[in-house]
Amino acid sequence: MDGVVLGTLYAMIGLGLCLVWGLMGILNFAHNNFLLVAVYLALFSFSFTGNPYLATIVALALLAGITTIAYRTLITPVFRFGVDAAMMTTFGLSYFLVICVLMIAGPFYHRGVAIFPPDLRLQLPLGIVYSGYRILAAAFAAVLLLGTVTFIRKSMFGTAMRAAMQDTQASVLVGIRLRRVTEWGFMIATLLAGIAGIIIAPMYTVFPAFADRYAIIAFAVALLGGLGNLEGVIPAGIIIGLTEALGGVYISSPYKDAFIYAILIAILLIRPLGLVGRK
Amino acid sequence: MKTERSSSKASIESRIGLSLRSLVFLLPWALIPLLASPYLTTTFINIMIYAVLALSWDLIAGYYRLGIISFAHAGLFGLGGYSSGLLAVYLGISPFIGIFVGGLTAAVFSLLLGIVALRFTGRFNLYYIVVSLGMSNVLQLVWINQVNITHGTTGLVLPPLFYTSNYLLGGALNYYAVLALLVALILTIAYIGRSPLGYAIRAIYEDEITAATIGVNVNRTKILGIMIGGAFAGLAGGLYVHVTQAVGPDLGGRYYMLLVFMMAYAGGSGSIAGPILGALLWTGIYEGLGQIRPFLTSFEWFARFAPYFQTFVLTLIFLVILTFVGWRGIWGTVGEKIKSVLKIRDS
Repeated sequence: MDGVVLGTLYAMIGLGLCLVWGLMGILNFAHNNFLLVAVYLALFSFSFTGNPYLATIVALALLAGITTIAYRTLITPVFRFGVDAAMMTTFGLSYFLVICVLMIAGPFYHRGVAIFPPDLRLQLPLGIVYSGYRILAAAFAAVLLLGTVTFIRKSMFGTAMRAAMQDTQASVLVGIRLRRVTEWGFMIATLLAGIAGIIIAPMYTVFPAFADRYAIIAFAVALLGGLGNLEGVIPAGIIIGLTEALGGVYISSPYKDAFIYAILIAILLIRPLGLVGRK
Repeated sequence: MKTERSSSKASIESRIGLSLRSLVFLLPWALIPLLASPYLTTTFINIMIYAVLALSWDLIAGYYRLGIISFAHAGLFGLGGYSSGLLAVYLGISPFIGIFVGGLTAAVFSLLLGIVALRFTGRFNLYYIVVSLGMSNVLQLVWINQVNITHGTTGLVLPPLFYTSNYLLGGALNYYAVLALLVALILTIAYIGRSPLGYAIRAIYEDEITAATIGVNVNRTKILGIMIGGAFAGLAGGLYVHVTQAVGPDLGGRYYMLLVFMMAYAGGSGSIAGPILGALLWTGIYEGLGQIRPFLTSFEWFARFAPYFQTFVLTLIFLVILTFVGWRGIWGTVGEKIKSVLKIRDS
């Protein structure tokens, strides 16, 4: 149960990473730190407004602003120097964002802003009691995930994005404004991560390092899904979530991240292009 | 095509020449423990450890342009430290043997990493990045969670490298040990440049497919390159933990990884002087900011920023340098300018 819930959220995070990989050809190491920034922005705006929904919207708007600034001032100029320099920039940016959060908010523990009732208990058949928050969160995430995938499949903009992912030069030739598409793709990716972060936050305690493990989870999801293959992230996310939940409960809780690696390497050895990858 | 080849040959000669010449520049460094204060000696020990780390990382990623960006380097650094440290604590083995065991362990782990991750040739060795990051994190998890052996996040207290009652003498001996490692790394790089391995690496750099068709074993060459880089990271780790006499799981963490990237990239990737210059500048800025920190902390508003501001400034500088000059870094731009002004020609 937990596995599926977490898996849906992980798929959301991984989808953003996939989008950025497909459009720009880099692994975005700052992805999970945008998630962290979103959670903290939500905390701040919650302390001002007192309304979780308003706080979430304000936080996402601010996150969009920060993303635009970071994208225009850092990532675009560095692309002149090639892809690995851009990747290093995102790594530096990830550390920079954590340091900024540390400087502004301090190394304290917080409780995340809950956009659904956090203490709801649901009585399921077979006498299982399960957190209603997690079910609502998973449902919301699933709707959002499917919505994004359908948007990218069906809409004009999504078609342009997929074209740019398949062949950059050809897409420019047929008149796609590559820069704009890339920037919007980056924005969508970051916002997805931000929403996922705000949903995840109340399940754990929030502190400046809490987003660190989502970097690895996002890479694992994106690689398992087959990079550049957007539908693949959904089964991949659920596999990763289940691995974490089952491995954490039945084998060893501190090593649940290690199981994610183990399953990642095992699957990559069998299917190097990911679960649904095809060449 | 022909000009390309001849230019690459010129750069081969210049690389070997440069690597030997940079040894001459290191000569004044040998005098530092005799002249400078213990604080400066310790700082220079750090600088040289970082230089070894950044250089051995850049050996894989930039210097010979194998293009393999390794995120396991901090992990291998910590691995060398832990293997040497655990041997010294539990079996009482001398650090001088332990350091080499640490280097060997790191090389073996690099070999495993290469075998697993280099099977996939994606763009920019994507799988290598993720798998090496994963290995680093799993190693750190093991160090944190095997509390009965590694004492978790507390870490272990280790015996020193040299037993001397004289504090100054001990510092100087540590200093020369680290300097020896740096010199050994530079000599190794120069030697590889002339060996068949070096030619194979350069052939792969020029064109991987052509290299494979003329009989270069691409995978084996890459793995050898990774192993050499990893071994030096392990050696540096083994030395470092005995110099500081402590080992903890943060050695394999993101902070050290960032340090390595910052030094190699901001100093100038693809040269020998670059990462050393990066290490020198970086530690210099860090320590300089540390010197003005007490002054700044006297302001009320600054106190809460104080623990983070050194890293904050350094990361900011790193991002600015990357935005303007990319991987060529300070050495690649300023150094080239100085050379053209002074009309120094390579080789």
